[in-house]
Amino acid sequence: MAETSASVEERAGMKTAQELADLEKLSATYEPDVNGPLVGQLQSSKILEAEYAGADPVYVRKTAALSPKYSNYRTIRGDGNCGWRALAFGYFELLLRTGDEKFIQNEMDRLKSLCSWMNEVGMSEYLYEDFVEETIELLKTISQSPAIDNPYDDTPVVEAFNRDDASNAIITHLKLLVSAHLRLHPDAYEAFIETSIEDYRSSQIEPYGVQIDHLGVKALVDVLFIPAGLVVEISYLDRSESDEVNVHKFEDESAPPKVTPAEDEAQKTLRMLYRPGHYDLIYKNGDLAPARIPVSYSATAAATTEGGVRVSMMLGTEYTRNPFCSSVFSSQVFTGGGGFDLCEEGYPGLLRGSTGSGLGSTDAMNKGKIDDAYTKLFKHSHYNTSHYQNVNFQPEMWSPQD
Amino acid sequence: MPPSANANASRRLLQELSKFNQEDNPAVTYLGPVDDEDIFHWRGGLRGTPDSPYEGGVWDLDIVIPDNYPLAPPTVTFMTKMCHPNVHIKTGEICLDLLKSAWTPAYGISSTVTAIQALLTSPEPDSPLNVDVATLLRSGDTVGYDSLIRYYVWRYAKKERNTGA
Repeated sequence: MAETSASVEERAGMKTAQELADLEKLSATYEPDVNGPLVGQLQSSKILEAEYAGADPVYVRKTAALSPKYSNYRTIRGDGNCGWRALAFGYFELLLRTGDEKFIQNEMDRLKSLCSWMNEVGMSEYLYEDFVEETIELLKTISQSPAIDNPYDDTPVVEAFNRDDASNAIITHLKLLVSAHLRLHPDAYEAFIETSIEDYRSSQIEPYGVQIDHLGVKALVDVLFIPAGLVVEISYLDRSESDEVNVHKFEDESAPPKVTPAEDEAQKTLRMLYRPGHYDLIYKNGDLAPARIPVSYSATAAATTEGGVRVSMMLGTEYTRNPFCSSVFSSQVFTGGGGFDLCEEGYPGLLRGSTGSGLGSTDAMNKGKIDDAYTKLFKHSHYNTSHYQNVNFQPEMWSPQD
Repeated sequence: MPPSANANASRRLLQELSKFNQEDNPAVTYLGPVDDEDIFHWRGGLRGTPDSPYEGGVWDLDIVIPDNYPLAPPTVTFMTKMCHPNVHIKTGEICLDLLKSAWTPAYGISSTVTAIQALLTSPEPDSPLNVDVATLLRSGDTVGYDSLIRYYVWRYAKKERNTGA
């Protein structure tokens, strides 16, 4: 008896030790969920709402308020590099979206010249040149035909960022660049670091797989985005008490207040969605190709794709559309007259890349009109989740005076 | 790991090798792949820091390079017995943050060996792999510490090796 119980105990003890060892091994080799593409395709931000439908009320409220404002969402793989990857991807996407070949070439020259910073802090060219090369290569790709002819088609950038080598090389280049920037311009950052710049850059910035922190974002924005006139904005989705995500904008604080029209700014703003420990990208309605819907198809498209986001058009090309357009178009096409006029002038590029006319100045004006129109129309339609007729409507979200 | 990562790593290692052959690194006596077939397995000779108890010693290092290099660090171990607070006396394992969490792709194999040489004279006795010698250092017995190291240098690492690969 005694022997049996002892041996049982022993076995139990061994098992526990084994279990402990297993657990320890698990925790030592733990890696965050790395499923999914490095950079995902555009999706409807409704997905976020669905994801949090059963969660804490704070999240339900915030995600429900998010989707009317930010129509689209793009996942970034949670491999510890998501912040860096989101920012790097967004930078290329914004550059491509300008459709401005000259502008992209200027950025290419600027980034090439910034290599001098890395030399200055003693990095060897032969050790970093491979990384820089990938950045320059992608800039070249998006500054040339065919990519530049379809500035709203993100395929070249998405493809490059899903190739492990290119994607990682580009973020490594940016990490080294930021590291050099920190060492050459310590005054702007030193006050925010508990240790030294040297410790900070070697433990938080340079190593691959270390999540970017707020200061890292700031430094990268200072190096990459602000000199190019681009804005980065982070929406924080967390449990803090409020009804909407908190938005923080990284801008050039030294510059005089901007007088650029909102339209222009939307085209130059990268929006990140931050959930504790992870970054993804979100897009406002106006950020994405508003001028991509052929007039002749709008009515059909609207009729068949209520609330849909990705629509495979008959033209054989995939369009990313936001759900709100469909309601506008259906109403305007059906009411005729002015609606048709608006479409005709506002959407000169009937087919992707067929005219190459891009967005002229008249288009920009008209787009303003459309934005106005559909915001109001949208707000009062049942597509709006805060509208009492919406299927996902939740009473506490309804404020009729809006 | 996709084959492209492997190809990138090979290309970069070849580049590093040709660079090393052009420029002298005072911390290194020899450095290169063990054989022509495998670019991911190197050996190198580490020279003891001048004006330190390690002066005059040369240690063989085994360097194994992962497929996703330079995103991940090489694994470096001492093949010659090394007496140092942060080196395991039996396995030759090295405790150096650069070889673990603080690895950066801006380092190469040659500069990694330089960093290991720098570790010789700036040990971290608070995270020891060799408790005995770390205790000597922590208790302030520098005479004992230095002479123990000198003994190990004389006993195991004294012969100057010229070239390897």
